Amino acid sequence: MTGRSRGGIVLWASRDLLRRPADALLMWLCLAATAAVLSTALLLTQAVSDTACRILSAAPSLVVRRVDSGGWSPLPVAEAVSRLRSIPGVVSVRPRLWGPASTENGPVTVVGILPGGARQDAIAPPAQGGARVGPGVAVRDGRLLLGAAGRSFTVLERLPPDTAMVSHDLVLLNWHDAGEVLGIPPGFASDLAVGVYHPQEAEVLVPEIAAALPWPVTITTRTEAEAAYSGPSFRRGSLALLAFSPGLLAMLLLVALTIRERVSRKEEIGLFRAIGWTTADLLRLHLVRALLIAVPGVLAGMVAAYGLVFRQGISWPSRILLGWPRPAPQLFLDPSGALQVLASIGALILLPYLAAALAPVLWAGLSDPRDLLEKGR
Amino acid sequence: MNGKLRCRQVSLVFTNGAGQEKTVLRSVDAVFAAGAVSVVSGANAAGKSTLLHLLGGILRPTSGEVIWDGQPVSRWTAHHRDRWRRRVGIAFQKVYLMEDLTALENVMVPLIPRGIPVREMKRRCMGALEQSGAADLAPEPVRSLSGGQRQRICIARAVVGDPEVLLADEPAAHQDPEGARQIKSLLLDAAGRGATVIVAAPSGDRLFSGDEQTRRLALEHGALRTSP
Repeated sequence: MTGRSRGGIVLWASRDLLRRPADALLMWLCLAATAAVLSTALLLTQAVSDTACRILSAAPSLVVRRVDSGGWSPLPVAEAVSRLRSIPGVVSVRPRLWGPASTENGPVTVVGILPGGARQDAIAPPAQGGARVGPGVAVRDGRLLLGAAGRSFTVLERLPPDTAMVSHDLVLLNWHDAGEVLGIPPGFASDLAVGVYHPQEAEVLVPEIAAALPWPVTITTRTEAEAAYSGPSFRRGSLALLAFSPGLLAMLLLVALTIRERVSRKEEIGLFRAIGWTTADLLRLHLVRALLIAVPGVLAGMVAAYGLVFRQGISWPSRILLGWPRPAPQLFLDPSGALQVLASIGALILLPYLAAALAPVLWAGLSDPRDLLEKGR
Repeated sequence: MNGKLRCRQVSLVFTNGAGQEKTVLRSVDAVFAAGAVSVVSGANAAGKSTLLHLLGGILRPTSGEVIWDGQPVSRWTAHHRDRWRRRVGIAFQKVYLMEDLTALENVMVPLIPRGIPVREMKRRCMGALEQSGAADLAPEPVRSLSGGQRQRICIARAVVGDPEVLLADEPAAHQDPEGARQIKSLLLDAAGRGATVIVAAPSGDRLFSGDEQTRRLALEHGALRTSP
């Protein structure tokens, strides 16, 4: 096919759409709405998973927590660190101090920062009586009342919004203040972050670490943490897809309507073939015509979905789909995740729609033009 | 006779909804000369339109063959017959125009997939409309036209691709004398350019009467015979 005949067919397909502008507009709107509904569900679950993986890639290989009959309990730092450092393959042991604390506006997560952290990107601890808070923590007059005793802290800064996925409800205090608020005595920590020489083989060290410590402990690997985080999101995402089955039903309806509309134009297909159009020409015409509606429609739907998922301040998609009570944090989408969503939308919407647009032309190609002209009447 | 288009033992049997068979054409043998007009006349429902549809490749015979340039066109696959139909122009009796499009757009349809630039397409279409005496109707929506005007648009659509075979089914049925004269002239011009022109006409039609170079055939009871 030459470029000129392609141009002629594109022009004619555009003219054909304008013959029934209301039908074309309605079809465009339906495709855009269906794409928006399905893309929102897919993008949200994919973005949560991608963001979690991105954050957890910086997490320690292993986290060790002491447990007893009442739940978790603080670890004596000096003893635990010296025992773990003696295990071959362990390259770092970092005590962490954290836990829930109450405020006037609900619970927050308090984290104690050790002075002189080994990591280059470690956050400097705030001065005694000061706090750095996450984007979701409510502050009154620059102060924050923490714990059952209602100890007052001066808020020194807010953590940037792009860290919201991990810092949404965080209150960073210096190590000493955090211990006081959480009721953990000096020399003890909530858990230990353990770095290993070969992160891929962290699971091998789990029994050795458990045996090296004199208390019962739970040890979580990074892989387990990733699974624990993304698993429920995916389950909720699947539920969301089921909840949006009306979107899929709408798609089926669109497919049925498209087939019916094309079949009703059987006489026209017969006429075109009778005056020199080949079945291939007709397929090209109907493909271009369908693409002229479907591509802008699906793109518009996906752009709307992108705005709903990634634009800050819009909370209802995550509230409905994932059950998050507060505005969603800043989410990220990896290129592979974006491609996955594009492929899913293509498979769910574009393929059935294009198939519905082309199948009647293919069927008509099997009949003699005269039969189509007569039956179309 | 120098004929590229011929029928060999062509028969067509239709089966109606009740399962009864009706023979429309019975072992038709004919050769249609290139560069001349052949007029096939017959009573209503004699099978004239069906014969034209068989010759134009939009219908297959029940038995026998339609042959073009030595090739059995009626046996070809749908794909090859689709391509061959670009050499054929058909002016249908029922016209089959797209009512919501303009006359010019209707005439343009056969040229769309042929890779002709839009300006050239318009020029050819206006030429065809002029030949059929309908140039002034080019911008008019077809739904606003009379029966005779629609027939001219249909004829313009048939000739716009300079076909090697031109089939016209009762082309002057709705025309006044001047319109009929124009259409006759158009068909003779096409024959003059070397096209095989076949016209279906009702019995007693006088469109080509007195024309020495026109070959007359009569279709009666499904059989074709040369007419005086």
